[in-house]
Amino acid sequence: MKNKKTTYNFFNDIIDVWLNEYKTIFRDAGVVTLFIIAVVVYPIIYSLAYNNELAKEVPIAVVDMNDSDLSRKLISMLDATDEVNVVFKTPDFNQAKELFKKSEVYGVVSIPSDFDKKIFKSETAVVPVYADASYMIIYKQIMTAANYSIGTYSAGIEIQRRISKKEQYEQAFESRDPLPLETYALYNPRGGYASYAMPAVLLLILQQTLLLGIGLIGGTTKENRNTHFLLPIGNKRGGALSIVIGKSIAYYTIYIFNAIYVFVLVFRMFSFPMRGNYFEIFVFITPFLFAVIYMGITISAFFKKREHALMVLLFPSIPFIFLTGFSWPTQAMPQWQIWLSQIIPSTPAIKGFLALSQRGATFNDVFYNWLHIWALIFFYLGASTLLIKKLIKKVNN
Amino acid sequence: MTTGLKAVINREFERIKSETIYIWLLFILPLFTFLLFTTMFSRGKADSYPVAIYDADNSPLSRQIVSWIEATPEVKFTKKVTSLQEGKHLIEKGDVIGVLKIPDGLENAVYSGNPKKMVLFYSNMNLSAGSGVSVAIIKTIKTMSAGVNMQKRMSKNKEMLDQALNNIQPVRIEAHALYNPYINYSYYLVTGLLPVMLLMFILSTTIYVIGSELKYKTAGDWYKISSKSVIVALTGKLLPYSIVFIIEAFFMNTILFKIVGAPQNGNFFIIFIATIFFVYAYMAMGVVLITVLPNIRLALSIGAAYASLAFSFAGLTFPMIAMVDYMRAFAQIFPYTHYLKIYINEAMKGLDLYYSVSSFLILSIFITLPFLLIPRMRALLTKDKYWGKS
Repeated sequence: MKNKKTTYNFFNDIIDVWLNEYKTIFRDAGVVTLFIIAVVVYPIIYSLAYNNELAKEVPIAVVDMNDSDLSRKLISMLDATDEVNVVFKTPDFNQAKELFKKSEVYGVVSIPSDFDKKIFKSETAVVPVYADASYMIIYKQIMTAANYSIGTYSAGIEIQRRISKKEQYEQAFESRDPLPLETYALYNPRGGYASYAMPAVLLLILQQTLLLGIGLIGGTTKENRNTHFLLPIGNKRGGALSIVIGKSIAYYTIYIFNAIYVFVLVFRMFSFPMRGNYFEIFVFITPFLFAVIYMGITISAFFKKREHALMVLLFPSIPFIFLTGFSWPTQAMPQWQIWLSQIIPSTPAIKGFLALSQRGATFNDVFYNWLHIWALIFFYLGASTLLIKKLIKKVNN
Repeated sequence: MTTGLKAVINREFERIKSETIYIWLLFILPLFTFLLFTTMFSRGKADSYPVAIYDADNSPLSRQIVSWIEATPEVKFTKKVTSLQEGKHLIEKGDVIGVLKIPDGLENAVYSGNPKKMVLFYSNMNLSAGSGVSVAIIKTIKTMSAGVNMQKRMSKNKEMLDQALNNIQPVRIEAHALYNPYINYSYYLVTGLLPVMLLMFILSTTIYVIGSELKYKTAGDWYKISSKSVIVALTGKLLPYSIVFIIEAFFMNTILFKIVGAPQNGNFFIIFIATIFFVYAYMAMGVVLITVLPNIRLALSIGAAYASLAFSFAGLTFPMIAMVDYMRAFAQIFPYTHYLKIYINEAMKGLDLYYSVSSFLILSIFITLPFLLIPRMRALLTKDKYWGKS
C-alpha cells in the first residue's frame, strides 16, 4: 500500500516539475530567444546563405597567346561549362595576373603561342591552368571545367587523327578507351553545398540551442537560490530523479515541435532531399533530444552564474560538428578525439540521421547508432540526477 | 582612494582573481581549442576512404586494376561484395563511400577490341570523400587505359613510343594550385578555425567584463575609480584582456606557420598588425553590443549568434562569390571576413599591402564604433536604472 503511494507521488512530482518548468522557460527572454527565435531564424539564415548550392560560373581569364581557330574553339568550350565563365581574354599574361591578384578572376588558363602548331605536328600541347586553391571549392570548380573541356577537346582531336588514318569512326571511338568507366554520384549528384552541409548543421542547431538554453536555466535557478519550489520534492527519496525527468519532458515537448519545424518545414522550404520516412526519423530523433537534455542539465550543474554557462557553451558548436566526422573523416582524427566524440549526442545522431534521411538506409542499418544514443541517455540521466541531488543537499545546509 | 588608469587596471586584476571563469575564458579554453583543431587536421589530407569492390572478372587484368587503385592514398578496398546491390547497401549504411564493379569478361573484351564498362557508384554526400574517391579511381583507370591503348598501338602500327604517347593525349593540362600547392586541408581549415575560436572568447569576455559591472551594480564604483572618465574606465578595464588576447593571437599565428606549416609568403609585419586590428575589432564589437543592449544575458545571446555565424559567412567553406547578393552584403558585418581576406592576401598569396588596404580600413571602422557610443556608455555607468538587470 505504502509502495503504491510513493509511486503515485513520484509521478505526481514529475508532473509538477514538468508544468512548472514551462513558466521558467517562457518568463525568461534569454531562454525564449534560444528555444524559439534562434531555432526559427538560424536554419533560414544558413539555408539562404548556401542556397545557390554551387559556385557556378566562377570568373576566369584566358591568356590566348596563340589566337587561332583552334585556341578560340577551346576557349568557347571552356566558357560553355557551368563551372566557369571566361570574363576576360588577353594575349598578355601580366594583365591576367593583375586581375587575379585583385580577385576579379580566380583562375587563369594560358594557351601557349605554339598551340595549333603542336596539334598539327601531332605533338602534345600543354595548357597550363592556374587556379586559386586558397578556396577549395573554387579550385575544384575551375579544375573540373578545365579537365572536362580540355579532355573533350583532346579526345576530339584524337578521334579525328584516327579517322584520318582510315579507322572507322566507331572503331576509333572505342579503341580510344579500352577500359571505359561509368561513374554515378549518389545522393548529391551535383555536389551541392547546402545538400551536403545543411542536414548535419540543422541537427546541430537543435543540439546547441538546447544546451545553451538549459545552461541558462540551470545557472539561474542556482543563482537566485530559486530551488525553493524544487526543495520539497528534491528532499524526498528519488526526488532528484523526478526533478530531472520532469524538466526533460518540458524541454522535449518544445523541441519535438522544433524538430518538426526543422526537418519537415525547413527541409521542404529549401527542398533538401529527404529519403527516409518521418516516422523512423522521429523514432530516431526522440532519444537524441533526451540525451542532449540530460547532457545539458549535467553541464549546467557546474556553473554558478547563468552567464558563465552561456559563455562556455558557445565555443563547442564548431568543434562538435567537426568531431562528428561528417566533414573531416573520423579515421583521420587522433584517437583521443574519437573517444571524446563518443560522449557527444550529435556524433551518433548525425551519422544515423544522414543514413536515414539522405541515403535512405533502413532503421536496422542505424540500430547501433540508436543504441549508442540510448547509452548516452542513461549516462547523462544518472550524472544529472547525482549532481542535482548534491546541489539540493548544499542548499539545505 | 586613488583614481585614474592605474587604479582601474589594479581593480581589474582583483576582479580577475575573484572568479575562476576568467582563467577558463582567457587561457584554458582558447588554448584547448588550438590544440584540438591543430591535432585534428594534422594529417593534412584525408585518405584511405573505405570502398567496396565487386570483381566479377577475377582475371590478371582486373586484379591489376584493383591493386593499382589500392596504391592510391585515397582508396582502400575494405569489403569484397558479390553484387552491386550489396555494395550499394553498404553505402547506405555508411560502411563504405563507394563500390566499383569490374564486369565479367573484362580482360577478354579488352583484347578483342570490344570494351566492357566498369561501373563506380559513390556517395557524394560528403563532398571531399566523394570527389577524393571518384577522382582517384577515374585517374587510375584512365592511366591504365592509356597504357593498354599505347601497347595496342605500338604492337599494331609500329608507332614510336613518343608518337604513341602524343597521339593519346593531343592536349594536356598542367594544373597549378596556387597558394596551396599541396591542396592541404589543414592549411585551409585550421587557418580559418583558430581565429574563429579566438574571436568567440574575445567577444564573450568583453561583453561579460562590462556587463557584470552593470548586473552586479558595481558600475558606479568602476566609474568613480576612473576619475569619471569613460575613456579611462574602458581603457583600464579592457587593456589587460587585449594584451592577453593579442599574445594569444600571435601564439596562434606561430602555431599556424611553424607547426601546421601554413604558407607564409607575405610580409610578417602586416599580418602582425592585422592580428592586432582583429583583436581590437572584436573587443570593440563587444563594447558596442553591451552598450546598446545593457543586459548581459541578452548581449551575450546576440553575441553568440554574431560570433558563430562569422565562420560560415567568411567564404572559406562556401565561397562568397556563390552567395546571393544580400548574403554577401551580410557577410561584411563580421570583422572576421575582413581579417581573413587580409590573411589570405598576405600569408597565402603574398600580395602587396595595396590589395588589403580596404580591408584594413573596414576593420578600423569597427574599432571606432565604440567612440560614437561614449555618451550612452556614460549614462550606463552613472544611472542606476540600467543596473541589476538579470
